[in-house]
Amino acid sequence: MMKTFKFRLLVLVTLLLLWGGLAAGALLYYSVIRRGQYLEMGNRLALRQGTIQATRGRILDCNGVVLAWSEKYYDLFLVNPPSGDIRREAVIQKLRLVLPESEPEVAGDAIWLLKTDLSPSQLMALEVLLRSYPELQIVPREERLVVDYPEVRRFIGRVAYRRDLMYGVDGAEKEYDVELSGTPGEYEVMLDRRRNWIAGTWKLLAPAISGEDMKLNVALADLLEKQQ
Amino acid sequence: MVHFNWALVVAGLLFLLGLWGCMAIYNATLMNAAPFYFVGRQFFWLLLGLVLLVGCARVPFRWYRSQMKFLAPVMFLFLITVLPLGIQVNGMRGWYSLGHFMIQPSELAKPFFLLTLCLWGGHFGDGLKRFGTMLGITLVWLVPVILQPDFGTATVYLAGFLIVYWLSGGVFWPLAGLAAALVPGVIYLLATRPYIMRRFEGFLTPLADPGGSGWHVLQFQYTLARGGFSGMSWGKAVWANCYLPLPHSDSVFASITESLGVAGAMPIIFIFGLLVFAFVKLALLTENRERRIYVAAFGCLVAVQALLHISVNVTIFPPTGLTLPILSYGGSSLIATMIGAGIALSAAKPESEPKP
Repeated sequence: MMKTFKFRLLVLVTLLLLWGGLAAGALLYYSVIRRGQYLEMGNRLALRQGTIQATRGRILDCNGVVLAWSEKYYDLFLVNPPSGDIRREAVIQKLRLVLPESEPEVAGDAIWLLKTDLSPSQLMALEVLLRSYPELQIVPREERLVVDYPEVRRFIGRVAYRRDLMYGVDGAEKEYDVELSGTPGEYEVMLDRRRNWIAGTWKLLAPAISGEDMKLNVALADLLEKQQ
Repeated sequence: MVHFNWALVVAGLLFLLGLWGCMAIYNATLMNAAPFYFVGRQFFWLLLGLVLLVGCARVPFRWYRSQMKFLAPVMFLFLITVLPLGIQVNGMRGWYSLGHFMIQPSELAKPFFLLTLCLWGGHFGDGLKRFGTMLGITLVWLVPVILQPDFGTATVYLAGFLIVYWLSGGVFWPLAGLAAALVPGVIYLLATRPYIMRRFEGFLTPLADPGGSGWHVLQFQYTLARGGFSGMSWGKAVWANCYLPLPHSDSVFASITESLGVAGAMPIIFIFGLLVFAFVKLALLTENRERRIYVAAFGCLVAVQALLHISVNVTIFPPTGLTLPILSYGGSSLIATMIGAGIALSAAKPESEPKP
């Protein structure tokens, strides 16, 4: 009886050993032997590269008075709002504790604008919430400001955006666009299944180089005189 | 003396796996808002499990044998009443909710099902009669599990039946007959339930439908690839956290592989192998037949569940929700394994106990 038991146990243990060997083989196959291929396929699914806007250079008159400059603002978005009502409500309720005045503003099916022009203290207050809810994203926005005189504005010209990059449309902005623009940087980030950024995976590939400040030959006083 | 040592080896390995599991759960939930929530609970279950392991090992085996007529019906009642009284989690009605805790009866009933098979199944003649008895007992316990429906756990119950039947000297031909009889049923299921076929196709050719039926298989493969030989380092199971289902439970082996690579995952397979070896040694030192079968069957069943979990995670088995014994998050699973191991250690004690 014991002999039969031993034989049957041996058969069973041998089968388990073979199964374990097969599992170990599959582990080696995906982790080591074909690693490169599967890593590349995974990266194609989850890794995204993006550009970092270079700060556009200032425009100064011949006396060093700033005529045009850029300012950065930060807006809060709910990207790919979760379909589950419970989670969505939880996000909005917790957000109201940090930013009582924020009201969701629907901008398309997938992205809600929650709050514009966040202050530094609001940015700091949001830090914990952003870690818990990756669907909340702070998106930087750059605005070009010009000394508020019509003649100066006409002389400096306008800017517009092309693929998230600011460029000069006319006036001095267009004339000195290459010098003012600088070189945009590049980053890489991993996205989760809902296409949200995964915390801690952001990597700088190339830093942004700010545009040069351009000193014009004209003085602000001359421009104002011309306006009058 | 040798006997005592193997029992100690079993207890030591279970504790080691339990601690490893706590670290793995922390690693798999590090990106959560409360990263200590799951690991804290699991550590509590591990301590409770150790107490139950020692407690169950100290209870004489004759007590289990004499009380099985009560224990088995109570556990079965516990298992079947979850269908009307339990709550639904992840599409399965398999949990009782007790405020902050949930109990999964299909896990807790597992060692008692195995004990029922070992103590009662082998006493009804030989050949077809024994096969029929054991299969009948198995079906009675299996039906509530299938109705939940928890196919992963049902597979483990079925494996328990096959192991005990084989170790108790059951003849081979009724098994072959059963397999042949099941073929038309399987064909009917595949023909009438296209999602089963799609799931199978997704497993065989995941790239044919990468965003649908092949999704989970591919995510497991990408996770293993990210791990490589030495892993992304502890706490960096990013892919497992974001793309795998339940990285602290059903996908814990893949999440460990992503963090520690092959170098950290292979020892787990090795330790489970060592655990089976220790149970086999204990079984061979046990004189009584039914006790011997229980000790060996329990060790093998733990190994089968571990291999099923690992096989799903390394994509040589179609995706199904199943925990890695001791390592995965879940109090019911951990405590059931500890109780089962405690009963096995009790069964492996020498026969020199006083007669009641």
